[in-house]
Amino acid sequence: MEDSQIIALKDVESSYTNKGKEQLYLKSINLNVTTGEILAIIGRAGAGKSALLRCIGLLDRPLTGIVSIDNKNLTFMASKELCAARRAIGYVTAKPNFLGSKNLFQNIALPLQIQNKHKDDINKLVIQALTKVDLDQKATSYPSSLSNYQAILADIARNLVNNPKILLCDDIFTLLDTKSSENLANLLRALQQELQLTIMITTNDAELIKTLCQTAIVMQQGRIVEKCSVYDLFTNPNSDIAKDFVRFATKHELPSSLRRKIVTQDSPEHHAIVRISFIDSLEPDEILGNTIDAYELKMNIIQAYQEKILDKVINFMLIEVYGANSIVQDAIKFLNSNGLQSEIIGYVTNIN
Amino acid sequence: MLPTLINALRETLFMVLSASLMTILIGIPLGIFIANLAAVDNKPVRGLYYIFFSLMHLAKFIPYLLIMLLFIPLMNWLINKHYSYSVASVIPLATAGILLLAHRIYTATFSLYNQWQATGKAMGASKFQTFWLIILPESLPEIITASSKTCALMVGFSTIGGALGAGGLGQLAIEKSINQTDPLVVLSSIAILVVLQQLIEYTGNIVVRQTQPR
Repeated sequence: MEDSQIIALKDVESSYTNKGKEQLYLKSINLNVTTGEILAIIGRAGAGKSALLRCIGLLDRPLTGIVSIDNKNLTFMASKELCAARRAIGYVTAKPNFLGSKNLFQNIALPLQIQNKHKDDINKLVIQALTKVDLDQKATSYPSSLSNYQAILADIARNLVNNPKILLCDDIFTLLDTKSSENLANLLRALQQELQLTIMITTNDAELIKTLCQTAIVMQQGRIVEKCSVYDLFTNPNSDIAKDFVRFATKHELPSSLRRKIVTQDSPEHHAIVRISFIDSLEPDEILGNTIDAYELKMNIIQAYQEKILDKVINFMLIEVYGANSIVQDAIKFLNSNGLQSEIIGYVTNIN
Repeated sequence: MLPTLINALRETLFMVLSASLMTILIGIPLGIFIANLAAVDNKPVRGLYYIFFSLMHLAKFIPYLLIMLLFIPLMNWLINKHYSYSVASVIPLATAGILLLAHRIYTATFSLYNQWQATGKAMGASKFQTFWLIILPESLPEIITASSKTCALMVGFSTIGGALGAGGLGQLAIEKSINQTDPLVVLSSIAILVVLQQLIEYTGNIVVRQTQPR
């Protein structure tokens, strides 16, 4: 496993100076990323998402700790080596900079010019990169004529000429419409497949995370509070911030009529409200039906819906269970052991 | 009348051109240098930066006549060494020009540095490459405009020098208008000065258009 690790951060802390006071914005970051993963970094504004990307790209040197990319420690590298090492790390922003006096082709040739490459090589690589992002028609136009979406594509092309192993995408989906966003996601997926790129994206777009990313990193106040698969993020979030995110992003919010009546206290005249989630490959009807029968309970389905996360379909179900609390608890344990993740989220006397 | 005008124009041109040359040769590198200093987080460098920065700011706020008065001891010394009044007045002219131009260049390049720092680094460019391949081409139009505007400003400054006896069209106009003997000379010297300023700015604009591909 050790050799397939592309990014390794160890005890990284980073700071900035504000009015003479040093303030930490990344705190004890430990992170390992496997080659070829697409990661989403989520968290509120100011949680340190962009700072983490800048740290991995060595745009800011960390205060303490070690940043290793591709098993090379970049933290103490001399500037000259660091410049070369940075070429393996692409960095795409939502509002990329281009030279206004040069056309797109010349702009994308810039990273190669920096390396003093031969003119023929530059031509070949730039056309290749432009074709990959489907902008080869635009080679002779000027950056000011590009739309927001095309500018981001061009920025990706400019990073691709350096043949990177990692692509850091800082909030590139925020300013795009749905269709462009989808196209861009498809492009990133294709690039990841073709070039074995490792892609890290800061975003708070749940749809995007569900369809594009495999792993999620949840950040809060400069710390990584959770790193899990996207599947786990949506079905079983651990940290409060992740729970909040999932609740806002999906339909996990209870119907409003129910939300007003739900209480956390149990009493004989209350019934439990249970949320169940399971992947499609199971046969839930049978398991659930058998369990209800076996424990001599009665149930009432309040809500049921499906959600697609990567290639898996996940079903969510909200049911009201009639029966003694201890028996319901046992039934839930049984369901959990059979792959139906269930939890009691509250009690009501009467849902109507 | 014509010979006096031509003679005065020659003196003005000498002052403006030599001061402009010094301004461009020193002001542009100085402005870029200070923009570079601004990014360095180091105590002595910060000090140096603040000294330059305040000087540039002062030059903007002190009227040129007062800047010239500050230079009177130095100019006296030069005149005692048998330099002409025009040569002596080039020194304050160039000083003011250098500081003003440096400030304009600093403003133009500094914002670009902030904007491009991350992009340049991510591309794998060294600090020098970022400057040479990105900042300089990007700020070139602004550098040329700032230079031509500052040089046009020098024409006006050189006439103020005329009040202290530096010669040129300024002195001619001042003398003739105080004596009220020759209104035609006053008017024609003003006309020449205006045309001269316009010519310099216009040249600047043409050069800028040459650097822009569109």
